[in-house]
Amino acid sequence: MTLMSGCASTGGNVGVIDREKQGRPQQTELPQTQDPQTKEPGTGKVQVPVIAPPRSSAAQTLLARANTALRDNAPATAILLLERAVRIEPREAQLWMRLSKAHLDKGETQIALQHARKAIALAGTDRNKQTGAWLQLANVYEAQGRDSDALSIRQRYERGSG
Amino acid sequence: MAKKPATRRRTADTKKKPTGRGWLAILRRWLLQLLLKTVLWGGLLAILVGTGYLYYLDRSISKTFEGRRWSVPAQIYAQPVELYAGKRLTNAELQVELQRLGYRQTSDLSQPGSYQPIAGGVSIHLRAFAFMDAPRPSMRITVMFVGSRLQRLSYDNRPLDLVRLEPAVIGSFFPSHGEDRVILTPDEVPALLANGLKAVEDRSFDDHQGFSVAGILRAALVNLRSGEARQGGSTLTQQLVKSYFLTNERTIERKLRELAMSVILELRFSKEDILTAYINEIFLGQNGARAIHGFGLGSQYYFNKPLNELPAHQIASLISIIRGPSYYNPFRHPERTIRRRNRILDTFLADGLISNAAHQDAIGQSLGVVDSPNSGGAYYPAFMDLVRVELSERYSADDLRTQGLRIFTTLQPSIQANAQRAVSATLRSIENERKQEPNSLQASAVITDTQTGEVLALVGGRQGRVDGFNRAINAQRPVGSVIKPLIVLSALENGFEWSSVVDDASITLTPPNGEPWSPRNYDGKTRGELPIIKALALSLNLAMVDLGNRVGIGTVQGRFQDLVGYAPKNPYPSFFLGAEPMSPLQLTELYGNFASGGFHTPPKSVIAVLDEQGVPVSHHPFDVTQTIDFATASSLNAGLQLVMQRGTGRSSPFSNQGVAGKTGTSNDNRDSWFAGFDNSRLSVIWVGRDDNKPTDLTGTSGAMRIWNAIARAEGPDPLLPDIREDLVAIEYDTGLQATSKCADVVVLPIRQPDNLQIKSGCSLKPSFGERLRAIFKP
Repeated sequence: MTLMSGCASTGGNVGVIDREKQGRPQQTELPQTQDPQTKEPGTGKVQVPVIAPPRSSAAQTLLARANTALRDNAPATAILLLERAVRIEPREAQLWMRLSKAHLDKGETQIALQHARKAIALAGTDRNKQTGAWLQLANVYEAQGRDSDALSIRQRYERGSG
Repeated sequence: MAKKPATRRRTADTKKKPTGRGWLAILRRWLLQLLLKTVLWGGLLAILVGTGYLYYLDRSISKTFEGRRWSVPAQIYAQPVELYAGKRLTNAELQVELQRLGYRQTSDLSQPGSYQPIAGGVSIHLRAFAFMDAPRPSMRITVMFVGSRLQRLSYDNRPLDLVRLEPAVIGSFFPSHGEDRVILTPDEVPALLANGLKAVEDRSFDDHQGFSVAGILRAALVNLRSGEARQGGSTLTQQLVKSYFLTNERTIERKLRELAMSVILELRFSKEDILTAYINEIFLGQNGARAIHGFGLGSQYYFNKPLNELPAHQIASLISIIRGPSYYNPFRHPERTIRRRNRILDTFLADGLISNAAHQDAIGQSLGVVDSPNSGGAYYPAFMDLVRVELSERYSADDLRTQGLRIFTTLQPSIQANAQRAVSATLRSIENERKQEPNSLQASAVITDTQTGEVLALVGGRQGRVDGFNRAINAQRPVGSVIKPLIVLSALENGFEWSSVVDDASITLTPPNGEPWSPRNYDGKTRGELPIIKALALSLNLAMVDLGNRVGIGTVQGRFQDLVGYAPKNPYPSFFLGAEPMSPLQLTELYGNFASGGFHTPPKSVIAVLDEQGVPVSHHPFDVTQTIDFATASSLNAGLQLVMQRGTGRSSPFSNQGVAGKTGTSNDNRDSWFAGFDNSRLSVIWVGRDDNKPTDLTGTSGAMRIWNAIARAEGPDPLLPDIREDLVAIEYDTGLQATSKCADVVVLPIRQPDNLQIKSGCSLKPSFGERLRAIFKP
């Protein structure tokens, strides 16, 4: 098969699935029990505050599975799970934050940047969500080589969250 | 030595003087030799030509067979319905979704694709499905409801957090010759279908080598006895060859070619291959430009079910159609089809394919086809146009038509159905009420998710299931006043406040290289100075032109380009009043910036593409780019909520339920627009006429009525009030700071409240109660 998409770049807004990591999805949907660890698994760079989970148990479950996928270095799977969660709770900042991380892990820094901004916009007055979203933006800036921008965010929010 | 010349001479003499008998013998011998040579050379030539022709036939048959066997149109899926506790969904709505997917109500749930209503909920035997992120096995679940909410889900008596129904197939990209099909593998072919086909169409299929003399004689005998064409003499292989390569012409030459091809096919491929190819190939009906080929698609088209869920009588019905898809069309000729179906069921019984009891049961069944063509499965040509446009940039037409891609899209069939119903019913009502010519009005609608830009529904005209001009994507119409929020946005970003005063007064503008232009308000009146919020709410043309001029047309048009990605066509100030042609889809893109809280979220219809084996090929992630500062976007949305509460949207029954929106009307009431959003959905509606004549409708009396109908069916999801510190009460008429005790106020974000003038006579000191509350505020 000679699909045109096969030679599409990973830029723009169409992601080409990393088949080595992704392949055919193996994990079935059943049974879906909630992973207790919905907290940021940690990148070693920032200490993200504990953020209240999404309201619905459905989004919580998907977030937990996405976090597992991120830990397993399967960002493409995590993105599909998080997008599914966003369709259930579109205004949940934490989901966009994790989407930003998943795209960052996948090397899609421009998408990661915009998703982090979306998370900031949706965080509202929730201080922990604001901090988490800004620190995610700092991670993206670092990946883009914008170290001074990242540093100023860290100085502001890591101090605040500490 | 001396005899030799004599001998030579004698011979020469013989030649010179043959007798009459000798001449004849020579001629005979010569003719015989000639004949022999001719036959020899002719035979050799015939063998050469015949071999060449057979080689050609063999090559073309093999190539076509292999090519057709794997030429699979892309399948397009809607969004699956997610089930989870707390979801807004009623028991009845879930059952409608199940029926849409072809689930049947049963009492035992033994088969996938069935459901059973129970007290307070429904039990479902879900079909297995390979979703884009994970496969889901077939499973039995129970869904319980309280009121309009899904209360809990369980699987095998264990609680379940969430599960999806499999998505509806909403179409396929079939080739230009119109052949659409769903390819089945041999494992997916029910035994009753395979055996039934042989029993009815070709009894000696397992034994013959492409054609059957006995079959031809038997068919002739049967037809002679019955006095009608009950049986055909062609084998299944011949029918397949005919379908693949040949026309319907009745000539000896064609028949011979058919026989030769059938023999070659039999020599080259296994019986299983040929039968499966037949099952995937055979023509079963015509639906507009779409030709229904194969039993996989036939089952979906006529019964809205996968083939493996068909009972005996429906398998017999499909087999009955083969003989004449038009003559035995179940939609048009149900009685005729039932008669033939029952004869086929008799054959099933006689051949021991079904039991007596099953036969009795099947004979008594109605056909059980869907209500009408296109109601089986789902068919959304307008939305499919959008998918096609989106995919055409990355996939060739050939890939889409032949590679068996599985395309997962954003469409939500229930929202689509509600939107289509709202469009059709509202236009009918308007035409009746206003005594307008029936079917003279047209409309289109786009509904997206406010945060992701995913298109949930797209209506291209008042007849949803008809291919035709797609007004949502292709109609370019002046947008009228729905453009005005762009002017206000530009103003808010350039130092203006909602309280800033603009002048609603007559004006004549003469742009460089342009004609003088004297705009008017819709009612022809002028209102003098008033705050921006009131000018926007009442959609005052003169005030908005004044504001646009003060901000600058370059600034406003620059923002237009930022928000939609292209420059406006109209460079003149009439742009301020929406003299700018846009499609409903483009306007959706503009309003997506507002509804999302300041992000460019271009409408998108594709989520992911998988190949035939289910391996992901591409994923289309959420596309969001910040274009407006969040505080400004939120402020603009607060103003658009006031448009609904106090302005041109106030007649909507949902105007006070947390919705934002703007109406629009073009010159001479040719176009009626409404763009509105709540917490989760953005809708853009257009109403007008294809001949561009006046409609007598405003944005309020046309497009907004359709939106009302959609909101009534869907239920609004109110915008949550933004918690922000810059909210200030200002007088609606003047923009002066005031309180509700002394003036008619609206509360809006004001960045520089210290610059506000206080309305004379208004005390802004907090009351005793307010001060008390402030003391005890946590």
